[in-house]
Amino acid sequence: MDVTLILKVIGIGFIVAVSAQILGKTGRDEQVTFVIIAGIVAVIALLVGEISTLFTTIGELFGF
Amino acid sequence: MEINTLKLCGFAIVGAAGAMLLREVRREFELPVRLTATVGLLTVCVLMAGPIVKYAAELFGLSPIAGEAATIVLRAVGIAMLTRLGSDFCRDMGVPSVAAALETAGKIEMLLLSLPLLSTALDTISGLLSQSGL
Amino acid sequence: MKRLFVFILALAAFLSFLSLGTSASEAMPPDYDNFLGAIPEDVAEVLPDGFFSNEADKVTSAVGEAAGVDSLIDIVIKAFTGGMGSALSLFASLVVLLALCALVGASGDSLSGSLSDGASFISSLAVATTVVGLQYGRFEAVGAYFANLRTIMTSLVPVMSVLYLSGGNVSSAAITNTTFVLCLDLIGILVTGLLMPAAIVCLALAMADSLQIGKAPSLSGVSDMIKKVITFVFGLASTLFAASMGIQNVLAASSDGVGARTVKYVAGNMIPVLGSTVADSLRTVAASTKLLRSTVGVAGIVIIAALVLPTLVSLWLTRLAFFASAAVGDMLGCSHEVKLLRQVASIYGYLMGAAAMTALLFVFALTVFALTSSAAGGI
Repeated sequence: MDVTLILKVIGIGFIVAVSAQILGKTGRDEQVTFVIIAGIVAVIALLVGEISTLFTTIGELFGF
Repeated sequence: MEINTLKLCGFAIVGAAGAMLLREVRREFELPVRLTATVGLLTVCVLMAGPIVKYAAELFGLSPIAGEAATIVLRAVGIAMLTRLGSDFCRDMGVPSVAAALETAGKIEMLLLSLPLLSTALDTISGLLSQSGL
Repeated sequence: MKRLFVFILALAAFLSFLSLGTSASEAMPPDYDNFLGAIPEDVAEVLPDGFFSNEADKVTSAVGEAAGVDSLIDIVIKAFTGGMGSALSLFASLVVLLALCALVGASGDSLSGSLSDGASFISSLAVATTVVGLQYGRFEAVGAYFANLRTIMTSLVPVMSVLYLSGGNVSSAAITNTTFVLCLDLIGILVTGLLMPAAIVCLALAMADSLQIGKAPSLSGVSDMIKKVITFVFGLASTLFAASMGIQNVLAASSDGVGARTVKYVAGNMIPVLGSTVADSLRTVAASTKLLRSTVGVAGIVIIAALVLPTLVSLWLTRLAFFASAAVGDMLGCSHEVKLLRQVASIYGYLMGAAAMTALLFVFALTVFALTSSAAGGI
């Protein structure tokens, strides 16, 4: 478990939030949506590996 | 694996604080932060429980009579834990129907796992009855 | 433990009433070999060598040696040391399973209600399956004990009839033959038709009871009712047969005595010259028949003791293992599993009672046989 993981996710969240704010104020609403989706995909990509590790570990521990 | 309780507390508090802040700024990112904190802490729990479960499995394996039954019970506990985790994640994401369906699937899998045990018990009893002449 | 101790005391008391004398060398009755052939191997191993001789002298001294209290104690000690290993292994396996159930119970707090119930169900099922699986060999051993008892007593009936007839106890021979055959058949029917099926049904009910989750009614009441019926039927059958055998033998011995006196009077007064010699020789025949009867009676009791004591000790040790593991289960908080273990221990208690009752019934019958005086000699 790496403490930096959660900081990365929080960091990505804040970056997306700020970018969305700026893009919204400059009138580029379509790009706001893309930025949010990209941010969510990036976070999910980070999370999937961890969830997979968790489930595999439980599976190995309990014998299946 | 060396676990520092202070690190765990720090991880949990940072995750909770980050989720709270992101709820105000960008609501969509509160869930990933919550999930990250949950998954991270659970991974640590499972790694910590590893030696305990392995020792228990070795202990149960010493008895030839209890060993097979114990393996099935451990698997059932594993299925129950995974199902619970998955259903909690689904509820967190706001889809309780999927969570309920997953739990149902988990229960059915546990029942399927118990079928060999039930079958063995019933076969033994019918064998005893036929042996006694009934 | 108290019941087992009382049973051993009763056996020793029966044996102490029967004293064996000595006489000139004489052969054992003709069907004695069949009786020896019916003795199971594990019982034959603990008997002295002279038991298997054809000469009454050697058999009498061997039977006298085997009938001593120290011999009984020796059999009990061997049974304990032999059965302890299997009882300990049973206890260890049960404790391991209970520890697993406690682990499941503890992890159930972190699972949701129905998943936790499912995990508890599987852990209870695992314990129930293991417990039921272990009974196969043990119930088979109990069935084998009753079968061996029947075989031995069946083989003793012709020997007893011959000895009754040679002592002039004609009525006793007829009554014994009929009563014993009836008793053996009834015991066979009670064991195969009532005791063993009832024990298995109680086991199945105990298993079903332990698997219940939620507020389902308990099945232990049905189980208790079945056990009470078994105890009542076995107790009644044993009491009736013991009383019947005792009364019938007393009456038959009296009528045989009258018949023998008549024979002696006729022999003494009607046969010329040798009439009194013939009459007196009846006493000699009676004395040697009495010895043979005591020998065979005590031999039968010794065989039954050597057969029943290891079975009782094994059942008692198994019962103790179940009670001990139930106590451990109580400490670990496995309530469903503890219920099952206590029910199974109770079933073993009833099996012990039935085994002891049938053995004592036959011991009583053999005692009556050994102590019934010869008609020809009791004048």
